Amino acid sequence: MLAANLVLAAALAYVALLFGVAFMGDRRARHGQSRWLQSPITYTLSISIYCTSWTFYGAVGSAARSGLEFATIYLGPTLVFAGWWCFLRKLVRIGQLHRITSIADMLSSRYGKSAGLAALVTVIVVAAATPYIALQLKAVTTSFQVISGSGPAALAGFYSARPNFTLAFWIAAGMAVFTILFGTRNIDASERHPGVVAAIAVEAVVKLVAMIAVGLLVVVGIAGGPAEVFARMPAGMLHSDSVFGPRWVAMCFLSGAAVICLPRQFQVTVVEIGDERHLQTAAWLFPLYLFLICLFVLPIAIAGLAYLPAGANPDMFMLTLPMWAGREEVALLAFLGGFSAATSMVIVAAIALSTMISNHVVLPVALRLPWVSLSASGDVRRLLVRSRRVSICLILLLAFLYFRLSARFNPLASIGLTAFVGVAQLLPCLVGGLFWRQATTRGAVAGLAAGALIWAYTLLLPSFQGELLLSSADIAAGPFGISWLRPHALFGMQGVDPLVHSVFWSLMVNIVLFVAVSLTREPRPLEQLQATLFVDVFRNDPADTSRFVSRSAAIYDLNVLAQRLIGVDEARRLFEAGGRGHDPAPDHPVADDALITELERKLAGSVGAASARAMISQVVTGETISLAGLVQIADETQRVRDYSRQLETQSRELADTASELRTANERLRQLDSQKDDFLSQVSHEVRTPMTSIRSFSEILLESPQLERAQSERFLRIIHEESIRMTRLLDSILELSVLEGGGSGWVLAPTDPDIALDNAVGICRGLSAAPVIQLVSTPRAKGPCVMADPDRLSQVFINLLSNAIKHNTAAAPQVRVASVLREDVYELTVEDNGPGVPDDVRARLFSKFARGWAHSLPGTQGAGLGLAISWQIMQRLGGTLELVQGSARGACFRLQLPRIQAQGALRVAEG
Amino acid sequence: MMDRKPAPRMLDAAVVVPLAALLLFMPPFISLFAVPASVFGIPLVVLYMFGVWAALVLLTWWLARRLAASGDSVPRA
Repeated sequence: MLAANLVLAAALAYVALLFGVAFMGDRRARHGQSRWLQSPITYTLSISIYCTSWTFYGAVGSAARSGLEFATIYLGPTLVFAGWWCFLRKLVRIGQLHRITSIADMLSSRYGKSAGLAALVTVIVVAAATPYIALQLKAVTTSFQVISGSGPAALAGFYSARPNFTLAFWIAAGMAVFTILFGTRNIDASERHPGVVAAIAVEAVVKLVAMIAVGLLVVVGIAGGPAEVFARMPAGMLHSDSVFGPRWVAMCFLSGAAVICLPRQFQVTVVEIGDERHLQTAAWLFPLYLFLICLFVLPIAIAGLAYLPAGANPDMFMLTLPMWAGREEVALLAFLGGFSAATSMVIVAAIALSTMISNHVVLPVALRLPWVSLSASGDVRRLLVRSRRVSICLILLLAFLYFRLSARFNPLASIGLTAFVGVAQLLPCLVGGLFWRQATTRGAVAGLAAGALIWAYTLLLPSFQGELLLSSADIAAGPFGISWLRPHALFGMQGVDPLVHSVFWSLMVNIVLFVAVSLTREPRPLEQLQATLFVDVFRNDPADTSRFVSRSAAIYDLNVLAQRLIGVDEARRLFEAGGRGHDPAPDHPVADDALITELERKLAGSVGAASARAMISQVVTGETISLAGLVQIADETQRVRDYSRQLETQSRELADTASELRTANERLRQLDSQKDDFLSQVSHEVRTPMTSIRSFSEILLESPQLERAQSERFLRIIHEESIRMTRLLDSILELSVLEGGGSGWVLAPTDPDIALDNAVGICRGLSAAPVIQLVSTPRAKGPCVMADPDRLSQVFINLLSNAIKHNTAAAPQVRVASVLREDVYELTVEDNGPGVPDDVRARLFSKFARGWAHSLPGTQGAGLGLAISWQIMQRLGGTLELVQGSARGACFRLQLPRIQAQGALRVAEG
Repeated sequence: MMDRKPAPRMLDAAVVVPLAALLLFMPPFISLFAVPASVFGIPLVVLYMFGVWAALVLLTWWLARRLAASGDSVPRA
């Protein structure tokens, strides 16, 4: 035995060491020297708070009672971590991206940031965790009594003795002080506690070392080898029929669920993780830790049963075996190991629970109460810190009360399993939330509430053995004697282990309601948005959120809100960063979606998504969520289809652009060659008159004695050639003006037939021989086209004079016919001449084409007439083309659109 | 945020290995070894359970290293 004072001194020294470690951890983290704290090893060790005093003492007790069953509690977590790639990776990624502060926050954030769901989850986990914390108090108190006790009572593990409640109270108070000191120092954005993590990492090492030390003492020191230990194993310890039955499966499942859903596990695994990559190490290192912890459990249990007096408390074999062997230093180490396991669990659980209570119960209530003023800077922080401190005290007080109430019964393991079933109720909506888009808040609430009620009825209340709500008679025979309502045989399901019974009913009802209620109604827009962000976390950028939510708020209001919660400095930093790229100037007082979303994320990091949303909603107006955008990113096939459609459009556009470029290039080449042709034509046309002018003026200069008649003839030629050249240059000028579109014409309703009569009159004088035959439809058409009459005459004259001049027939004839059709005025000019040679047809209307002129000697004209006419018709919105006539001669057709004046039309047709 | 993807068979293995271990830990597999037999004085079922456990830890360690090489991570937001 050890003196109580010595044990107490050792415990206090150990606590002082933990204080030191936590203090150093906090300081180093603040100064950024947290390399050791940020290592994956520390992360893994902090996860090992899974191994509480239930593991340390209870696993041996469980092994002594039911053989290998103890291992199920560690196989579940081993499998969950080995399968990290499927589930934990996603959970951690979401937790990091959305700044999740607790499991309640995770669920509420996924289900449309529902404050009600967060509160419900908080209530369930507090109800589940209280017995669990009580269990730690019980373990520490009993272990203290055992190690400082003496005689057969101590060696029997104080099985029947009354626990020392005074001691338990002070242990609880000490833990509360430690938790408050290191767990609620600051409400920072990340909700991480480096000091606490450092302390629990140290405790993880201590409990593993203690476990292995006791194991080695038993196997090597007492028994003398593993085979010798197992030789003393009671017959049938490992081979009872019931071990590998439904209970085995249920417990593996429960422990796997617990390592995800227990608030303290969620806290260390998801919230406190410094780097997502740590999970890769924890994936194998944590199973290895569990493996080492379990390795000696069975030998210790066997040795306890074999060497200690019959009836000794198996839950205390870890202490009583070294004491029995007279190795008090090992006993003290074991005591410190158990103490470590208990304290680390209580501290982290209290932090996690107090965070949930303050964020999801206290703050939402305070936001609704009109008399709670949260308007000054830092008010919300103060409220949060105070409520967390108070809730830590309350949680430990509650656990202490539970311990007092239930002290006389229940081995450690069964209390722990009760808690496991409670938190396992969170699993369906957590898994559903991460992988099922259709899961809704109503479904989650319905499933959770029903599952938790059945758990409380079938497992939690009966664990008080008639002392709370349900009397012993009710438990045995059902309330009011209704037998199918018996808590351990619901609906007549008999002969099943109570744990399996409770797991079956609670989770089945939970899952069925969760799925069924989710399917009854479409998720609300916010639920859809969050569902997409969570389910597709590896595909979507969370910064995209602002794309789908559009709302507006005054920068000023947001700033005030941010200062209230995250403090003046932090708020200024946020707004300066948010203002970059936008306009922070006072004339832009409205914040954009990106800034609001960023602020909401920041607030969510300290008060949880639901409360952050509630606070933002107070200053935000006109929130809309784009469902179309959501549906688009939610549907994988839709995404692929959209993408390929985009690609198609792009390639089509590219092809179009390329062919346009080709056409344009071709056209440029043509224009270039036309320009060259034009220049050479112009030079040629100018050169002929210039040559004759020059030669005749030379003759005149060199022969002064020339006859007067002769010189007059020469001067006339010079004069005519000059006129011809001027006409040519005029035409070129006119054409270039037409092509440039530069002249200001006055378009007016015109009767084209008047212009035609005009032209025919002028052209009759050109030659007496050709007969201009006018074939006209009824003339009184009235002003039916929009045109400039002079320009129109010019075109007609050109067409008629061409037909007359180039007509080499013996009896030249020109046939002019005009007709007014449905929507066009049409004129055809046809002659009985030689017609247009095929090789000229294509370029008939281009400059200097002069279709059939070259073949004719002595023809006049620059060859620009048709080009000018064609340009004029273009400008008037009409067409001019060469068509197949009735005879072999050339036939031109001119068309002009009719104006849509109804009156004019009616006159024309009548 | 496109992560460089590890080899597909590694991804599949990351799912298959824990599932296989789950099967091996569950009845009826584990019941097969619950017979009164011992190896070097240690009961067969104990050796089986801790053996599968150790193998799982080793495989997970090996897989985690291969998956880690793919550099799948984002900095803390």
